Amino acid sequence: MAEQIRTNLVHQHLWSDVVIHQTKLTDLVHGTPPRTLHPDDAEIRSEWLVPARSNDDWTIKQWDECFREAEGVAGKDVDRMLMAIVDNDSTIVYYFVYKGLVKPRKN
Amino acid sequence: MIQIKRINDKYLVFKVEDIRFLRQEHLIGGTLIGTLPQIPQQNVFCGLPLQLFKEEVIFLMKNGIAEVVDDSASHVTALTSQTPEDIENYEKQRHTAQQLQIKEYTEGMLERRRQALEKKGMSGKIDKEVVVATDNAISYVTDATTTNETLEGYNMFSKENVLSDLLEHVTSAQYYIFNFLHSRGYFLSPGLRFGGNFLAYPGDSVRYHSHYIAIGKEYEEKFPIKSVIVGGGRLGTNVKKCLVLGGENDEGGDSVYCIEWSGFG
Repeated sequence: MAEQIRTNLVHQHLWSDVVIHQTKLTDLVHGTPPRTLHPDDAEIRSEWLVPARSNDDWTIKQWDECFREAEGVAGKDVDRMLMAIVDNDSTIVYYFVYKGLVKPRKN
Repeated sequence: MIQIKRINDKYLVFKVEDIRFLRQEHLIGGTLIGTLPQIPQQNVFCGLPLQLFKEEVIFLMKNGIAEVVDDSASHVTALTSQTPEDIENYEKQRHTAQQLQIKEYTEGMLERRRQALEKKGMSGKIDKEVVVATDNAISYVTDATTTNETLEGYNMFSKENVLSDLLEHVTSAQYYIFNFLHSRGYFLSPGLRFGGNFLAYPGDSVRYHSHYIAIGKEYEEKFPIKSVIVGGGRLGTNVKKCLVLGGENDEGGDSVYCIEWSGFG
């Protein structure tokens, strides 16, 4: 699944430096988008992605674990990740997951 | 302390001053549910009473801001415990009040007439007039003289009973997310309109748009990715809100996450 997400990021969304990190719990994908993803971002920032299947369930605990793993690999705090949600028909959708409360975007 | 009346398993506040207090001092808004007698069809702007949702009642009880009263039971008790003496007393009070009203009314009328005649220079005429008034000639209007609080059998539910009763209907996860946001100064309203437990406003809901669609979950409670994260996240982003999912983690701390569509894919 991580491989499928990497392919999608590189070829459809033109990300660069996309790397898969295998952690104890799950694969995590790290990469850099071609432009800023959020209007509040001052500059392009590299992102951590969590692979997930659209028909699966999720828990709050899993987010805690994913952030912990990403922070372990990154060696610093991670304030947001992306969930890469993969469907059976190969569609992949991406959702920001922020740690704690953040103001909704102004658009 | 504010009294919340429990009637038919609804928690209601009837006093405007209490509603103002809850709203301004405690960020508790509830929902006005009374129809307006003049326009009963419309249901956008409702009047008294205010219905509190259960999390609000729990919060107010836990913090000693309000107590819950068995309103319907006390009315039944009050009605059935009326004795013939009570009724006779009431009739007497009513009669006295009536006589007083008649006196005030006729005296006022005479005074106005005297002034009018004086203006016309006919002040001598007034002394020859006699006022005729019978007991029932003047309609009897009165304010409510008894309040609920003076009724016999007006029982408070004990705090423990109300809380345990409420917590049967409200999951701890729901109350967790309510309390998490409320304690951070957010004003909460019911969240069904956007598929959540609550909507969170940065201030009074009359003045602001809501920022968050909030859903409380137990720490290891499973929820479907497709409907909650994808559906909720996309809806939230489209209506300029963040979807907030959160729960209390194993260490008793806060694990709260905001979900937003990324803008691609």
